[in-house]
Amino acid sequence: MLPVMTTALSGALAYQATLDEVAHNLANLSTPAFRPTRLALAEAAEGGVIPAARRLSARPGPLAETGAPFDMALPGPGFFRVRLPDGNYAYTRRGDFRVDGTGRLVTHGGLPLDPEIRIPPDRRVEVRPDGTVVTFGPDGAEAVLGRLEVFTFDRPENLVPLGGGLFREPAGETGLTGLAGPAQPQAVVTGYLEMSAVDLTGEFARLIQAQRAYVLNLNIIRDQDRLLGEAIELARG
Amino acid sequence: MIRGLYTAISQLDAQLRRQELLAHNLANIGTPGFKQTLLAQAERARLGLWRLGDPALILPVGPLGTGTALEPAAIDLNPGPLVETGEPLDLAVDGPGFFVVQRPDGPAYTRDGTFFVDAEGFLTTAAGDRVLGEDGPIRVGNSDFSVASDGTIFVGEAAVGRLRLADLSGAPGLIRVGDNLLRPADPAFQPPPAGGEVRQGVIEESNVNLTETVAQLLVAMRAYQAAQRLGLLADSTLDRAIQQLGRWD
Repeated sequence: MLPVMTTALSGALAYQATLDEVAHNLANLSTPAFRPTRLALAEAAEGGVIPAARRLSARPGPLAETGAPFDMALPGPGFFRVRLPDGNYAYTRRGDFRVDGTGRLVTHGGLPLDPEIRIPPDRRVEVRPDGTVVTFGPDGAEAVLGRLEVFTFDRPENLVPLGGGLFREPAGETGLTGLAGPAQPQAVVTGYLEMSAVDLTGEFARLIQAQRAYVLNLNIIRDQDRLLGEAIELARG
Repeated sequence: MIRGLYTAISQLDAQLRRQELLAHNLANIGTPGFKQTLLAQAERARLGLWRLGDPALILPVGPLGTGTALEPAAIDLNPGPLVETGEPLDLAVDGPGFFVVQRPDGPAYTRDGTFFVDAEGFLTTAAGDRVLGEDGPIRVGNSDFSVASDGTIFVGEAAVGRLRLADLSGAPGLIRVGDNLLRPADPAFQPPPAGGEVRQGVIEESNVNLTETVAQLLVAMRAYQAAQRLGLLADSTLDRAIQQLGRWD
């Protein structure tokens, strides 16, 4: 009976991991630019099942209009680049930016964009579709403040999520460095945000399935335990 | 009476093995492309019992059962349901073909099309084994790709390879390698190429039938319990024979 229990235990653990993942995806149903992940399960050679690998969805979320001046969305592939406090780069598609106390354009989490863009106070600022940020002087003279660079990855699904919509390059892999794309006429859309890419119906279907499978495997463990207990009782005579 | 004990034990063995295989099927109810194990049980050979002695009096006494055993497990190759995911790296075969992947010890076969792309741009399984095309591993490189229904993979307009699909239905026996892979039990068996339409953005789910498998597991557990009782009954009969039948006072 013990192999049955370890097999069922591997099932309970795998479906628990699936449930955790689906719960995380569902919790981020309204997180801008969130990409759901999926846990791939694999049959274990010695019996049972193991979580094999996790894959980030390759599908972007839909764009929604917000009207906020520093809300930006990327209609094509690519990422904004930000600088982490430790000096490393991270990448994000989440574009609900704001201006911090020192005038820098930062993410919702307060990380500065890279290359840095400083917004002068009390000035009208405009972000052009190609990413150029311009301001207008009191006399109406135009001044360029910088350009929002869009970095593209060869295989964005291999990026490592850091939480908060941030990703970093996977360590030690080649060909995955983010490259600033050439200036494109329609790189950035202002006043729009990329919504979460979570597919509610699909996630719910997976939730129900994983929950059923989880309970089922737990029930097998319980029943086996009872059977074992009875066998011990019987042997006692 | 001792014979009865052996019969009961053969049933305990068979039902235990049956529970293990059914639990393996149930643990893999959410594994994409999983193929369930089918179980068959058969009576062990019956023996003929003859009375020996005077040659003129050699007479048949009757048949003697020797219990039961599980037959070697077969793998059910029927397809599981195909489910749309919309993910470009999810592929499924609508038809009999299996994807062929490269393992260090030779090719292995799977219906699980949850694919990844490794650092060198090759299409792999979740375990990191490269997926084979007609001309070796398929390199999709760093761009998005599309898959035609005949399995040809296009990066942009250029075809980079065609997925190899193998037909395992003729294999005399299949073994489970792990990582959702199957392999013919006879290493000399070369699976012929198979037909089938490859679909992108679709995944094949496990072909385990939940209700049926749970019912079979309950039956196996009850049969196991019944065999336990049977063993005890044989034991107590034996006990009585020893303690009471053989006693005179």
